[in-house]
Amino acid sequence: MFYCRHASAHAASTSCHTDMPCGFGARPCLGALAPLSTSLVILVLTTALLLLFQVPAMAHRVNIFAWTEGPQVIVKCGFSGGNSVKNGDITVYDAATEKVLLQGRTNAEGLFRFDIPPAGKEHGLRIRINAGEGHQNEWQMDAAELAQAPATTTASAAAGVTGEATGGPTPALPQNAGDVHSPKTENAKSSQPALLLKNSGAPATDPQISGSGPASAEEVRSIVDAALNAQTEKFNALLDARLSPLRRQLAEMRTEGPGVREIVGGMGWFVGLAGLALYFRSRRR
Amino acid sequence: MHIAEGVLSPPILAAGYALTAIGTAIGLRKLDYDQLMTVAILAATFFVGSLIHVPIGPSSAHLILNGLLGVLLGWAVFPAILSALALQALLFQYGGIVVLGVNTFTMGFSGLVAWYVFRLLVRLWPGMKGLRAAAFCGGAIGVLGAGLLTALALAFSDEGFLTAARLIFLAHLPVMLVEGLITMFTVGFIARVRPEMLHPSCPQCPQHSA
Repeated sequence: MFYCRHASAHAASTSCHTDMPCGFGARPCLGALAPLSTSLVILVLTTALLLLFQVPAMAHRVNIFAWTEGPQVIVKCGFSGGNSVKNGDITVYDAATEKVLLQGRTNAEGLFRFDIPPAGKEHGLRIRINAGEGHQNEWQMDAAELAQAPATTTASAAAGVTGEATGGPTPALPQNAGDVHSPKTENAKSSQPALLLKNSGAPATDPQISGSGPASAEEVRSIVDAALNAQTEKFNALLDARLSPLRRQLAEMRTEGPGVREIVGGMGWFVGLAGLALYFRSRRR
Repeated sequence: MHIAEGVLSPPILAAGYALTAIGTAIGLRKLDYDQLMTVAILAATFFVGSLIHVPIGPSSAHLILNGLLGVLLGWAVFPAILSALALQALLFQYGGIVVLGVNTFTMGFSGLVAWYVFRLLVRLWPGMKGLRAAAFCGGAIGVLGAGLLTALALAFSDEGFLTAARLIFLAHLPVMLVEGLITMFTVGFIARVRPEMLHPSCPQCPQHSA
């Protein structure tokens, strides 16, 4: 970094000495500042260029992004530039009553998971990350978004796998998970515990099928309902599995630092402001 | 060094704005016509400089360059940093408009302290070596002061002063070193090329009416 800047400084200094005398009178004109300005502009541009080649990891701003996955909410926190927030304090508030529902810390990947609290489904949630040293941000989740999530099942303990499972190939779940009537055996043979266990949630409410005699209309309806429920659950699980990489990408996009466009635009602002100030001052003279 | 919105309490936010307003008013009053473009360019440097991460140590700290701005601009460091931070808040969502006062004061005031220290050291130790040493101290003091003031602002939040100060100080030790060097090289370069720019503080440069 220094070598680069130093080299450009040398180049600018030689050209300065040759064409501009250094001392001038009590009322210097603005043009006399030009060589200095040129060298400073070079400095600014060099730093801007350095930015493009550097892997940035800055701590100006902490980003937070949360989404539902199955019965859980996953929170992803990172500093602008891409470093994830390790051990950041997470506080989950009831969005309506401002009551603290739960607290926790992010893991090494900047992730934090929790089961959706019942209050959250009614009022929505406000999730706050505090990464220390004045870095704080919040994420709001609507009640509508949370209410769509499936109820907390026994699978929640195993749901920790879902996060990692998305990295691999998409699980082919519907075929081998189809047996809605035998949740227990299903648990035993499941190779994708998180997704399969979620499917097993619905049949728990399944009425016992006696199997003797012709089924009454009531029984038929309950069987159809149960099957439909199971299908919906499966569909939701599939959607979750398919969507979670997308959500992750979104989360990562939100933790990116400012792009070249914003930086160059900002520098243009300074030139514009200085131009305005110079214009008004020169009129006052 | 950017404190986010919602961390500080209203009295501290108000105090930050009041102090920044005073500093900016004095800065604008002292700002002379010929210095305007320099202020703008240095504000742009500050704006870009704080995107550069110093990859030393475990923490992710970035350049601040308030010491450099202080040494080169004196009181005009306030308007420069105020405009740069306002644009960072608007374009990058760093810090925020509500905490702009506090953030400007923490970085601007320490830049001002760096300027006075720089001037004092240059008087005590004239010559090029003294100038370089003074510039190095100015750059480092800017970062140190900004860290201490940020910790002080956070002392009134739930994070205690000592914890915050220790964390910020450790994270910014490499930044202090790097900024000291940057300020040293820049001031050394300017003293050779445009010495009148360091006007009242540079004894060997031609006296320049400020």
